[in-house]
Amino acid sequence: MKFSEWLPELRLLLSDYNFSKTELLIVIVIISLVYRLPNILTHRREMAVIKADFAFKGTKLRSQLELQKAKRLSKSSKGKK
Amino acid sequence: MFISLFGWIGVLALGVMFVVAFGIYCRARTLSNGIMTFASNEFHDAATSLLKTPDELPDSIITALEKMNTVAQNSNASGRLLYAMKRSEASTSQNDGIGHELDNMRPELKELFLKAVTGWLNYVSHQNVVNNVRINFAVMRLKSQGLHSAEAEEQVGFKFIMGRPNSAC
Repeated sequence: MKFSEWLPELRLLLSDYNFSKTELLIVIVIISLVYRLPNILTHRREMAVIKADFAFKGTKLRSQLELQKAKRLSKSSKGKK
Repeated sequence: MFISLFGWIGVLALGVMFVVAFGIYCRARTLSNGIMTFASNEFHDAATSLLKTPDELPDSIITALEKMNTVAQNSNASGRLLYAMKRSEASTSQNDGIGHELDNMRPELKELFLKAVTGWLNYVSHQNVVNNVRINFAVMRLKSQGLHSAEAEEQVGFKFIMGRPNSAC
């Protein structure tokens, strides 16, 4: 079926169900969202894992940095005495 | 008749555009997650390697690493990076201090620090797909000013780390 024939056919079908253009757009958006939902949820889970991993490593790094700062502080205070 | 037909085509085109844009977003998110994993490892490996020789590190480098670590764990870090970049875009002298100390460091350590900055920038910017595109444009702007790719990324990182520390953290 050609596009020029297919479009009026679709219009007739939609008008049978009292569908407006806005409603058609909303339906397309909802279908695409539902279709992609598993993908989005997987991405969010993956990102949460990456962030948790960064936070875990970041805690270790922060403790190392704080230790280093404390050492420098004690060295400088000893130097003043 | 023509106008109403065009309207329906327009609505369908809009729907198709949304579906395609959504598909591109999902694909970009997949790539971003991969890059974030790599960048996170790059940042932590470089930072850990730097801390193996702590006596050779100036205070400003330690502070910068601490700041990078804190900022990367903030929510909406990429948005804050973008905001800070816009605020500090006009000024170029803010990274002079750290730049001077970097020049005095051993080349191996300097390279490691720059690797940490690049990793951190990639981690933060890829947290949000839209912000990543905008950050890339900012990097491209710097490249157009004559900086090489790595240099431009470092400049953006420096601007954020050293530019507005209080508002960023």
